Amino acid sequence: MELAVLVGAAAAGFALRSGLIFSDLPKLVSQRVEFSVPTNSWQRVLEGSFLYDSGVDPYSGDIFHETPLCLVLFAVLKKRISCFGIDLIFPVLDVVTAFLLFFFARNLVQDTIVSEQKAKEKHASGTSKLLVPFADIVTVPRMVLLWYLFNPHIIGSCLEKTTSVFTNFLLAAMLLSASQGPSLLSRLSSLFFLALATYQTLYMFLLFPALHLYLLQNAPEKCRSSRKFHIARLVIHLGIFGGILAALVIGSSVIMGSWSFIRGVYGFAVFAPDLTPNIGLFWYFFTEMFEQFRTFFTWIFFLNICIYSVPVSIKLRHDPPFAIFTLLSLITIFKPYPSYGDVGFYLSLFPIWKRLYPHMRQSLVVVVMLLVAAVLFPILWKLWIEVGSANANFFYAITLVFVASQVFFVTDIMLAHEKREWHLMNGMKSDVDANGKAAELLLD
Amino acid sequence: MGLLTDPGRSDKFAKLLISHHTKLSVVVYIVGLCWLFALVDDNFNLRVKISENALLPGLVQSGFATEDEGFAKKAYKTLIEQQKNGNGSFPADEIKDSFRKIGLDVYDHFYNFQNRSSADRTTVQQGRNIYAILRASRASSLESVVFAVPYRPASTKHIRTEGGIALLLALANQSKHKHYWAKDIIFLVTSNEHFGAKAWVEAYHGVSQASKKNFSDTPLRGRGGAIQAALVLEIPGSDIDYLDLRLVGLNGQMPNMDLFTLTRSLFGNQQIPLVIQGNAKLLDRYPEDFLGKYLRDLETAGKMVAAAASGALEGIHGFFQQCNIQSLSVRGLTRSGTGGRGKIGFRDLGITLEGICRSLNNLLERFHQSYFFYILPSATRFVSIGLYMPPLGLIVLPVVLRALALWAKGTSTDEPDKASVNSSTMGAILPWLLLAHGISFGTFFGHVYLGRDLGLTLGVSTFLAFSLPLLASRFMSRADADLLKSVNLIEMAVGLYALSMLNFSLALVIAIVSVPVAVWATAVTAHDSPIRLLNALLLFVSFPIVPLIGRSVCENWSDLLALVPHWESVIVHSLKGVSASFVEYSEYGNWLVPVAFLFLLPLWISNWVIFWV
Repeated sequence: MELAVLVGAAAAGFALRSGLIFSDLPKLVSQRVEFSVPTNSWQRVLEGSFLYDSGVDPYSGDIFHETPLCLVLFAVLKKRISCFGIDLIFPVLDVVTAFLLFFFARNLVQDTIVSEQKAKEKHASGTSKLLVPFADIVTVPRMVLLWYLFNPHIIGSCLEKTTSVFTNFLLAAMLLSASQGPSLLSRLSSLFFLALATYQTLYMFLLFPALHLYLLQNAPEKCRSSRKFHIARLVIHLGIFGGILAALVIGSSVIMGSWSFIRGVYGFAVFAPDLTPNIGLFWYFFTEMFEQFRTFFTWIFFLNICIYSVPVSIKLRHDPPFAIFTLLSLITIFKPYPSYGDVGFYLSLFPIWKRLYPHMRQSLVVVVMLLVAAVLFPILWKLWIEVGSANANFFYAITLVFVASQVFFVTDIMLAHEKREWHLMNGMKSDVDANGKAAELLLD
Repeated sequence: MGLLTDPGRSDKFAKLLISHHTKLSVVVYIVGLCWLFALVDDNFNLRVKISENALLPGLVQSGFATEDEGFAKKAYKTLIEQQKNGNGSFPADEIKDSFRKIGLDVYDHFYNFQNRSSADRTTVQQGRNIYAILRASRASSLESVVFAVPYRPASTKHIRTEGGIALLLALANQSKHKHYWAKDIIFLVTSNEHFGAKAWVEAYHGVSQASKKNFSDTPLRGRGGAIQAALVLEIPGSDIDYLDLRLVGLNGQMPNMDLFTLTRSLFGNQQIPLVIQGNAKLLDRYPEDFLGKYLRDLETAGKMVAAAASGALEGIHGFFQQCNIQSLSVRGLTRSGTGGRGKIGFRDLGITLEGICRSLNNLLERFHQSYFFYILPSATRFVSIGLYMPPLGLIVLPVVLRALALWAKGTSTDEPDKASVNSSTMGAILPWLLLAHGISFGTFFGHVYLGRDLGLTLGVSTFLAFSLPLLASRFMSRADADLLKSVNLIEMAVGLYALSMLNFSLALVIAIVSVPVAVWATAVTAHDSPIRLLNALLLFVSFPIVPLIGRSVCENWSDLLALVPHWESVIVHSLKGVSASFVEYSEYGNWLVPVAFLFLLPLWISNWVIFWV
């Protein structure tokens, strides 16, 4: 039964994607700014590969911002398989990603239940209802799978053939291998996938602290108290991650025969010179700004993305997967070229933390804001770019709504997480303050 | 951090909302309506003005002299004769020759089209547009201005346009040797109403017709620069009484208000009586009393809102507007009493058109200064987007309030252990949402893309929609219905607010009617109360197909009465209006039908299902 549901869902998800990818729909919605941004647009991959084939350095222009490995991979694929086959890679990879997330969710829920049952005696009395129910081992992974397979954000970016599909695959592989237990292989492979994801889209290195803590979580109990062990592990993990990343970058320079890709890929990701409107915050800000402040604000914006990594990891050190989830959403909010593919990825992970839902207060607001943004992005784009009656401010206003909805979501879910922890330790009953009113949990 | 994390207030707010939302909704709706109607009054709206300084209207000496008037009259006479000789076919070659004689570059544009509302709907016909380009002498061809006339045969139901073509020729002749043009002037004569105009505008902007199989148009051989503005002339001849400005384009799109103000002020300078949206009452003396004045303004604004809400094409200027070109139509009309001997001749019109052209010639940038979203209650006053959006927000607010109240009721208990009793989940109502949207989408898709018969698709979807409650009464609980109601109302509010950005007038008309219906129909009433019967009736009348049919029934009331004993032909006849709307959608993208079938119908089906639970 369970297997039938999974296979059926996967088949339906695949059929939906491959059916739509060969229909007229991709042409109709091609190059939508919500899905395709300079860092993941398939058009640009084609252009870059054409330049590469003609012997021109694809990074010398301002079009191509994928990594050299991606370029080589595509060149190989192009020779080996037909256009039809390349189109089919995207739905296949999406379905694989969905299953990786499925198994990750299963591992994670299992781990959570085990650790919660172990720590039961520490919890306050009457809080057993707050614990993750055993049924979640079955339902949560299934929900994650379905959410990923039928999430319009993900389907759309698959139809647009954005390279977010690859990034999402790498992230899912990283999450799954990290959840596999304390073996060396799982640690190695998760760091490897993180390095690949970082190589692909720069900002993923911010996940390293959280992933490091996650990998430590599975270490034997007695080692965890020694400081030496911690330092050793940190050095080892950093070494592996840095080594793989360095190997990838150096290998790329060998393939390309020059270092120009550093500017084209990573310089582009930091300095964000392409100000085509997208669903992020950068474009409007940098078009409005005086040119002499540009360097200053570039670094401020870059710092703004980076600054969350360590504090969030430390604060959520007891639940590193949740830290990874939070960081993924924060990176998506603040990076220069976010797309629906990134948003859809972290939203699909949400069912894993389904237990926080009763503690969340803004879910209605967030959902409605996301809906409003999804409806108004195309409308205001049409009014601004095609008809010319609206202007950039209209589109940016809706971008702000979209970003605000994500910020609400992150704030809300983090607060819910903390509230649940507090209730677990202190019981459901709230204390009474001096005035005889029930005390409430506040975040100040 | 109070906004997001303060737990206390939202509970109090929820309780307040649950107990008071009905009263609040009524108040808010009425305030919204009153506010809306107040906007027509001069105290609440603004005076039109020219914001773009570069236009400098009326500052040049006119060069359009008596001999140019003579030229126009001669051209007009020849055109009428050519029309008679050619048995009413488009005298394209003759017009082409006339432009060539003046000394302009003249080009043909051939296009193919299918007239789906005519008898032979599948045959592909060929049409032809003529356009002549007067090259700018002071700049390279980077920008241009268009004067367009839709050619109409003598047998047309619409206003004849031979006078417009004569004016084009006279203008071309007069401005040919002038040294001050900084923009190309394109004189365009289109044929076959909207088919020709649409084909030309799309060909000019290189919009690919390849996706539509039968439409392999020839590319344009001559081009000017980016078109900054387009003026469409529908002038029957030289003796007209007044002009009618038509601004509303496709789907309620409006031209930049500067173009309107410019045209209005220049026609005004020439003492030419002017009305907007065909409201001939504007020609009468300005009413002294408050009420008369108010009603006249209300009628003008109402006509504009109605035209925008229907989304239908008022003139070929709609296609220019779709391509970011500011454009409006000028219609020449005669008063019924004067017997077609109006006082306004080619001279007055020529002077004004020359003035408009000189002003447009001064433009340094695209039109961007003034308003794009506005409603005109009179030729001198306007209601801008900032003024009319708040009342619409209030009118739709009851939907939001009701949705929030229902949501708050469903999730009012804060303790997670109590919430499971008497509640529903999104999973439980998802099938209903999918069904409602599926039926609506199927109807639309089935007719538009699969080409199924309209009567059949409407019949099937109506049957499915009306029989859905049978299924619902078995599988849907009260709590599910409450949640579905809430989700439904949220969808409606989001949809209406989004639609108001695209086409304010349509959103307004829908909101005024559907907000009370939706809020009223979702009220919980006992199963045997007489109010429930009224509810059912109200819901039935608001079935989105009913008003669509109702519109065509009202329009052809007398025809239908004549057919009464033959019910079959009555049905076919009353569906004609709906199918015409579908044709308007597929031929030039009038969104009335998609809005009715993809937005309103699913909402209605859900409401209908909820009603019977």
